[in-house]
Order: sequence, then C-alpha cells, then structure tokens
Amino acid sequence: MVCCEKNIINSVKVSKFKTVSISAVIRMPLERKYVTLNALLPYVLKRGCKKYDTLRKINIKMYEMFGAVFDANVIKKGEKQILQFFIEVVDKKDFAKNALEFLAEVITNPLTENGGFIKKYVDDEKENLRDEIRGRKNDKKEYAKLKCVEIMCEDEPFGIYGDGYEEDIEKIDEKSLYNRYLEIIKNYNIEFYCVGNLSENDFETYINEYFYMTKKNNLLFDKNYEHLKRNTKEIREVKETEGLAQGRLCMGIRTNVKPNTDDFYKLLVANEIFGGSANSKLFLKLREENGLCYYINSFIYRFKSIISVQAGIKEEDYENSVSMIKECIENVQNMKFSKEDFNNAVLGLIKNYEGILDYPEGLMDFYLSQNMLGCDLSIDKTIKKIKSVSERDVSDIMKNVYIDTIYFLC
Amino acid sequence: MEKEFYIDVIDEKFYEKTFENGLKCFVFPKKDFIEKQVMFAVNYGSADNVFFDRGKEKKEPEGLAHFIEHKLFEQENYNVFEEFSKNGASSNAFTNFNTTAYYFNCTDNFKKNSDILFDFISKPFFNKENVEKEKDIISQEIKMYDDDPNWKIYFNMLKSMYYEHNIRNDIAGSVETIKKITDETLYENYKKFYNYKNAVVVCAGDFDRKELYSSIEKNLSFNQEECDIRRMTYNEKNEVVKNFISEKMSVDRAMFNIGIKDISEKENLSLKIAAIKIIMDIICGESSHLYEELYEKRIIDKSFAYAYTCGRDYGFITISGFSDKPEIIKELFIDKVKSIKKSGIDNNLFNIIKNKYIGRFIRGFNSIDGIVSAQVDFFTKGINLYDYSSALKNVNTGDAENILYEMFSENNIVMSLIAP
Repeated sequence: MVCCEKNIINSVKVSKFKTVSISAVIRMPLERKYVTLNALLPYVLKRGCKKYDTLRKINIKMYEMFGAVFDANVIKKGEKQILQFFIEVVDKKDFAKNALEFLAEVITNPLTENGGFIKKYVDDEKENLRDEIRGRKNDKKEYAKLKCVEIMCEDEPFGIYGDGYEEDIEKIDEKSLYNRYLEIIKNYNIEFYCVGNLSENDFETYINEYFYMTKKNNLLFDKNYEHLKRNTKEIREVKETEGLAQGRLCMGIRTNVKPNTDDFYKLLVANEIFGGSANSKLFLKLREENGLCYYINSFIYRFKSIISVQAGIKEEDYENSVSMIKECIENVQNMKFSKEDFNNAVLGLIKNYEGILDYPEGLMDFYLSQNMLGCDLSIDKTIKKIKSVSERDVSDIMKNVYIDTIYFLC
Repeated sequence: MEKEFYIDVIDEKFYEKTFENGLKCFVFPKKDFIEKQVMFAVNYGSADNVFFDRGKEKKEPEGLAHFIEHKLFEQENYNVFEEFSKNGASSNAFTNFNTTAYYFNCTDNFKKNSDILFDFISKPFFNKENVEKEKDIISQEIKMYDDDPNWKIYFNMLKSMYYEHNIRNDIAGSVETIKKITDETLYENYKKFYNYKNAVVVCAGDFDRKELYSSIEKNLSFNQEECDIRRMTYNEKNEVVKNFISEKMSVDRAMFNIGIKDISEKENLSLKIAAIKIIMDIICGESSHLYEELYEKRIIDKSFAYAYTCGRDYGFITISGFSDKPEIIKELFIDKVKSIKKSGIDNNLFNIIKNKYIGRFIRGFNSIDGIVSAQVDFFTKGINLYDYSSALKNVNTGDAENILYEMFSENNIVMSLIAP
C-alpha cells in the first residue's frame, strides 16, 4: 500500500478479486448540532445529481456497468461521523474509471434549485431518515446495544446516535442542508480507498481528473485519546419492559485503553478469551455449561475503548447471568485461563486479521482505521503485535476494566 | 471419478469428484486467497421431518434437523470448537428447509481442520443428559426469533401459502415440538439422512485438493447402510390457503411480505432461477418505472427487496419491505405483470438486466463463503454453479415469457403484514 498526499489516496493493487472497489470518505467530528444534517446528506446525494438527475437514472447507470454496487451512508466510528460513498464494479472495460467519474458527479455535482437542494428530494429523504431512526427498535439485539451506549456515554460525544435524531429533522430544509454540504466540502478532505486490479497511478490519475479539490488542513487523525479515561464508581443498571419473548442484555465495560498503543493488542487478546468466540469464557460458561442463552459474545469499540457484551436470556435469569459474566471477567483478570485458551485466542485473532486480505471492504476499512489512528501498520505488523502479547499482559490489561452500564430490554 | 468444469465468465475452473461411497465433493480453487472454507452438507432440512418409512408415512417432531445440527457438535472425547480453535479455525453450522450444513474457515492447518470436520460429523454422540440441556439453549434460540418481525412475517406468509408442504413450519420447531425429541430420535434420523449418497462436501480456497480428498477418504470411507430415503410427495394445491394475514408486534413501522406461490414443475431449475431474477427485475427492479413510481410516491423505500426461493418440490417469490400502503404495491405489481404479458419482454432491456446478473455472478466469486454457500444451495436443488452460469448466459426473452405465463396468477398471492 502506498500513501500519497498524506493518506488522501490509499490503494491496494491486487489481482485476485473480480471487481474493483472504491470508496470516498469524509471524516467529521461527531457533533450533536450537525449529526442529523450530516446523516441526511448521503440520502439526498444518492437520490440524484446533475448528470444523473433521478434515482432511476443512477440505477440504470449501475446496470450498464454490469450491475455495479453503489451506496452512500454515514457510520459512527469512535467519536467521528464518517460520510462514505462506495462503489464496486466488475473488473472489465473501463468500469473503474467510470466508477470514479460517477462518484465525482454524485459528490461534487449535486442537483440544486434556488440555492438549495431539490425540495422534493429533501422532503422525501427526511421522511426516509425518520423511518430509519424509528426503525431502530425493530431489531431488539441492535437496539439494546444502541441504548446501552446512549446511557453509558450520555455526557460524551460517543453517546450521540450516528444516524441522527428525529426531533432535528423538522428543522432541516433544502437550503440548510445544502449549506451544510458546502461547509463540509470546504472544510474536510475527501480520502480515497481502492482495492482491486487498478494501479495506484491510474487511481490517482482518475481522481485528479474528476475531483477538483484542494487539500484542507484539518486534522486527519487524532492522537489525543485522553478523553477516553473514565473510572466508573458504581454500575448503572437500566431495565426497560416491552413484553418481549426474550430479554436482551447489553453490558458496557470501560477499559481505558488507547486504541493506538500496544495496550490495544493486549485488550484484543483479553477480549477474545473473554467473549470473542465460541470457545470463550462467556460462551462456555453461560451457554454450554448453564444453558442460559443461545447467543452471547463480546466485542470492542476500538475507538472508544469500550467492551460490549450481549446476550439473549430469560427475564428471570438476569441476576444469575450478570453474576456469571462478572465471574468470567474475574477469571480473565486472575489468569484463570489455560495456556491453550490463550494460544487459541491468539490464533483466532491472527486468522481474523489475515482473513481481511480476502475482503475488499474489510481492507478499505482496515486502512481507514489506520489513518484515523495515525498508525501505519500493515496487517503483517498488526499480527506481530498480537503475537507479542503475553498471558500476563492479558491479565494486567483486564485488571483495569470496570463495568459501567448494564441495559436490559425484556 | 473427477470432473472438471470451466466457467468462462470468470475464467476459473472447479472440480466435482464422486467418491466410491457416493459422496460428492466440489472444489473451487481460489488462487492467492488466504482463507479456506470447507462445508459438509446433507440434503436434509426442516421440511424433511415427514417422510415414508417402510411404506408408511412417518412424522417426526418439527425442528428435528436443526436439533441434530446443534447436537452433532457434542463429542465424547473432545470439544469441537476448541479443537478447531487450536488449529486456528472457526466453525459454525446452519439448517434451512432442505439442508443441514457444517463448516469451518481457516488460514492454516487445512488438512488437520478437514479431519476435525469429517470426524465430528461422522461420530454422533447423543445422550439423554446432553439432549435435555440443549432444549434450553434451543428454546432461547426460538424465542429470539419470536421477537424478530422479519422472521414472523416470513413464516406467516408461508403458513398462508402452503396447505401441506412442510416448509410452512418453523425451522427450529417450537418449544413444544422439541420437547418430544430424544436421543433415540436423533440417532435414528441421523442414521437415515446422514448418508453419503445424500451429502456433499464443498470447499473453496488456495489449497491442494489431494489433501482434502485424502482427509475424506480417511474419515468418511466406511460403508453405510443402503441409502433409503423416501421423501414426502405433497398434493399441494395451486392456490394459497388464504391471501391475507396480519399480526401486531412491537415495531415502529408497518412491514409487508408479498408471497407468490410457484406451483410449476421444478425442472431445469438453473434456467428458471436465472429467468425469474431477470423478470422480477424488469417488473420492479431498481431501474424499473414501477420502482421509480413507488419510491417517488413514498410507498416504498430502500428496504424494498425481492427474492425467489425454491427447492426440489416448492418455489415462491417474496417481495418485502416497509410500507404503509402494501395493497397499492400488490395492485401495481399485478397490473405490471399483466401489461408485460400482453406486450412481451423488450429484448434490449432484457440484455441489460441479464448483464447485471452476470456481473453479480462474477462478483460472487470474490468471496470464499459466497461460493461455498451458493454451491451447497444448488446441490440440494440438483444443479451446480456451472449449470447456473450457462443458464444465465443462454436465458432469453422466450424463456422468461414462458415462466411469466405459467407462474403469475392472482390466485396464488399472499399478503403478510406486521403492524405496529
């Protein structure tokens, strides 16, 4: 991977894929006052641009490129809100070049009227975003995760919903959204990622051909993770009753581990032993030994240093489940895991990282994360870091974790 | 015996080997890929709980195939997950209407991991105690689906669509039906359906296939009893049981599934699958006027989707999404079908959409998991990825028009809703 222009252009030339995947990414801080505007923007931009002014024309363009896949959305990654445009085309003809031309049209040449976006499009997409926000509740497992974060981080940007708020939508109109769009284009860089059989040189040439943009001086990465530190004195427990067939438990655990330090890799191994696989403490204890649940696992919000545990349990098993999860944390803290558990966790993580090389989207996300962290680690180097973790490291890093919030929806 | 297939649109080969005991194995070499996946699957799923046994119809509890899937992981002398884990592999399994499948993904120790897979799937270890305990776990799995509106709406649709066919039943059964399952039921049905003549191994990745063959020969070579599977034959009616069903759930928006029952003969399935994809796209795909109209009127949103699902003796189309006005979608859909039946299919449009599906087929070969799942799915339908790629290349407007005539009538449509 070669980074030119200080991480603006990132490309991995590889011939094993049948497609070329390209993304254009804009990283913004996660801010309450802009979050809904930012979230609405991709909805409106992918509805139509000057050259392809209806959704149908955009779709026909995709069909003509042998069923190219195109999407635009916002995601929340740590305390950043990321606007991303993605297109994947079959590696044929000059589809890759056309794909970049298309992205440039959508991003830099939007359809406007009277100094704003098209009113009809904005009005429609406001409704779609509203539906999307209301629809969060439909997936109970995901909803419990979101609620847990909201409650746990109520005073921190991470507690903000990345896809916005219903109460903001009413206030947005075609002009205010367009102004926000202009600000974003003026103040933030667009970074480009590409995975496929396209040379860095060609990729750069096409970008320069279709995107007329100057480089901004905004901070591309944020090495200051001091704000992550937070010690939790008592556990906050929130229970909401909805009359579900199955209770959904979500536990948020503070780790205070900076994501761009070697400690992160220790935490990674610790979490893998704790709840990262079907061979983990949580899975064996709660599911295999006690039959309390069908699903249970844990993962790390890397950019916020939080471990999140989720499980689907019976309402009456709540206390029992929580105390068993605590016991699993203590077991990792006290090195009550075998040499084999440890080795298996390391092997599992290595496999996961190596596996990224087979997924274009995974690779693009990996390099985006590296840019966000201000790290320049390849997958190989990441694996070396994982291999250098010791059993003692796992126990030590786990000793610093605190349960912050337990959310239970039943 | 090993056959070689060449798929020209992706310029790749694959191999189909049949072992002496009847087991079929498909290998898709994927040069330079790091991960490898191996899947063992039996042509036995949730819909196979009723069958003919010694001339008589036999009915086993609903959810049995799925229960076997859970319990086969239990071994007397070792923990399967741990064994895979030791060798850097992750493993999982799934059950659907016609298939139970077990697989692992790994980067290293390919031979060793293959040995583990073939060892545990061939050595059931069921006993009273471990079967009882599993009932708690599976009950939680069933309850997880009980809260899932997508699952509910789908099975409500199938129950309203089919009189007899067992795909109308939930894959995992219900908390009641699984109570009836014992270690004996598991053994008996395992022995009957986990026959090599009824099974397939599919793998993709960058590895030496001789290693895989030798692992299969080492672990799966013993003789089994003669394969004696007599599947149910249904006298499924052309029309649906009822054409409307609605249920309230804790959701914030109304959801719909429109189901179209396909009672046509299931022959030449590859061509049929290819043709239906293209027809549906012409009618209501993202580039169609119907889609545009519905989207512009805010009757549908980006959640709008459709799919064709079929097996050896059933088939149906599902159109799904969120909408407050699903009746309008149904009405306009029917109108559009009528008008295409009258006007015929435009050749130009047909070819653009055909290219889309060729493109999507090519894209599918980016993914090890995708290739394996697709081939396993095709196996239970009696076809392979080569058949499908040729069908996609050869399908023409005439084929599509024939299917349009035989499949779409107003009597075979179900509307299933979940309301807030």
